[in-house]
Amino acid sequence: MTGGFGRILRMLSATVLGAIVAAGLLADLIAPWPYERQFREFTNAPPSSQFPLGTDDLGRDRFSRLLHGTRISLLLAVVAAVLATAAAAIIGGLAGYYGGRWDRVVTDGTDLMLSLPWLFVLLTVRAMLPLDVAPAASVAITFALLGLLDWAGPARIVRTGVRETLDSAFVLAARSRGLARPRILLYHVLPHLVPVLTAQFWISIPIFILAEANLGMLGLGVTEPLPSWGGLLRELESQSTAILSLSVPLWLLAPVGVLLAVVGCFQILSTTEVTS
Amino acid sequence: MSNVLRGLRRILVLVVVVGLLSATFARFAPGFDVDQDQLDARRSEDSLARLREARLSDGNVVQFYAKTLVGYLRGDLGFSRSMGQPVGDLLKSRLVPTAMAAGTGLAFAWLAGLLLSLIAVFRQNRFFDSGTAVFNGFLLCVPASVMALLLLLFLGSQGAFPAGIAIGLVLCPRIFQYARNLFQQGYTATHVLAARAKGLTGQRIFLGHVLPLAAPQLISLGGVSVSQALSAAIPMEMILNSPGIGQLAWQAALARDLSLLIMVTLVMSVAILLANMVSDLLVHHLSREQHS
Repeated sequence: MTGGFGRILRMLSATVLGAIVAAGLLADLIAPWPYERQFREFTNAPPSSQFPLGTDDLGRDRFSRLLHGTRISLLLAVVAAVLATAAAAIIGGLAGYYGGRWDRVVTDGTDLMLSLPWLFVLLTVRAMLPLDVAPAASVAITFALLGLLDWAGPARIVRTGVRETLDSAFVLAARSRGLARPRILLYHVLPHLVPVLTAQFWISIPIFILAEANLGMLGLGVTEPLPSWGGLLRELESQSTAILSLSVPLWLLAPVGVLLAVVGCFQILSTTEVTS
Repeated sequence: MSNVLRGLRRILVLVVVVGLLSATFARFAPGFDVDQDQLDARRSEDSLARLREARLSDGNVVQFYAKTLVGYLRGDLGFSRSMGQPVGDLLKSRLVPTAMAAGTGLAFAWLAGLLLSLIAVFRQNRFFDSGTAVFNGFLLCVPASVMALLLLLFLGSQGAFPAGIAIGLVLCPRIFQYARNLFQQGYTATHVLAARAKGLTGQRIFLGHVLPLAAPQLISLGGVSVSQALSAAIPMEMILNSPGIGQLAWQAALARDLSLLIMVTLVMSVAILLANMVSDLLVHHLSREQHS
């Protein structure tokens, strides 16, 4: 993705992503109705000027729920990515810096984590926590789990980065001048890890968005009445009979469209970030 | 031989560590001391007392570990409260559909991925490259569960075969991208350039020089793809109604049946480690062959 076409594609991706993020952040202003308000006389209504994407089984406006769901899924994918990147930086950074026994423990730990089937582990840990929790708690649990279970791969990359940096001439010079270890780590090693950590952060966001969507569809994500992309997609899952008979209303696919657009834009932009 | 022993030791460590960790999590998970059946008003005092007694026997952590470990050694993998069946029986009956779905998915993904990568390398057509880039990008953006729904829409049927195709569609773009990059890298190697300059045919160059270069990494990817296929089995089997291990894991998670869920995860982990061990052995064997 180089040259003029690549630049246009990146600009287009940034614009689409910016618009969707802005719509999510301004959901309170844009959404015509509160996401939890039920219009019992308009259940499963088709799109209209009053309800741009129709209403769900409980008579809630789908458009408002999509906007609020966008905000929740996007913001918390970012939080989970920060958590995973920070955990990877700390664990991988210390393993790379101190080496020896600590390095072996961390390397074995990452090997073990990477050999576990991620979605099975996620499901197991989620099921160990109470399922019947307040919506806000379910949001925190979902994304804390996502963030804390996906540190192993990035930690290994960070560890390798630290080992390479430690072998470089400027770190040797800093050591020979008698600089303290924390100072070397903070002022000489860490700045060189920033590009690796930034790339990991950007790569993680679409992964967490997709993971939340999968968890939500399995009924183990953010709980009702809070909307999230996973929760909104669950409505599609309950329409499998309509899907089989090819009579699924198109407006039900709106969350899929938004999700695809966001993950696609992130992938285009993160490829650029990783390459740079 | 030492590689086999190392691989087996790794599996043993995994089983012990994950087993102990899982037992700890299960023991201290919220709600462990309470059985939902205790809230059933229709139960008699005797029945309630027996339930309380059964729970109390698991109260001591050391006893709980010992009981769990001895059970495993005897081949007793525990009892599923939600399904009302021994975990071992449940796993046996569910393994076949998952093996079929994962096998179909892996076969489909590898065939399609390798075929597309070969076309991309040999043809070097801009339209083909753009088309595969768009299609690949789309497949990479679709959550596994939505992929299952899309397949339901297009195939109009449920079961292990559609679940396998859906798993294949999830894996295919990753295999294609990786294999294409490896082949393209192989063609830039100096000895391959020399072979081309000598006028060797495309087929001979690929089979004799490019493929051996890419083979170790492709075999390693084979091990990783087993892990991805098994993980994708959960949403696929749930949505496409295939009665395999993935669907069992989902049902166990919703019912908070931890003994079943932990055993399912452990079995899947061992399967993945075995696949990785086999791929490591193959890579080791191949590199020895190439060096000799």
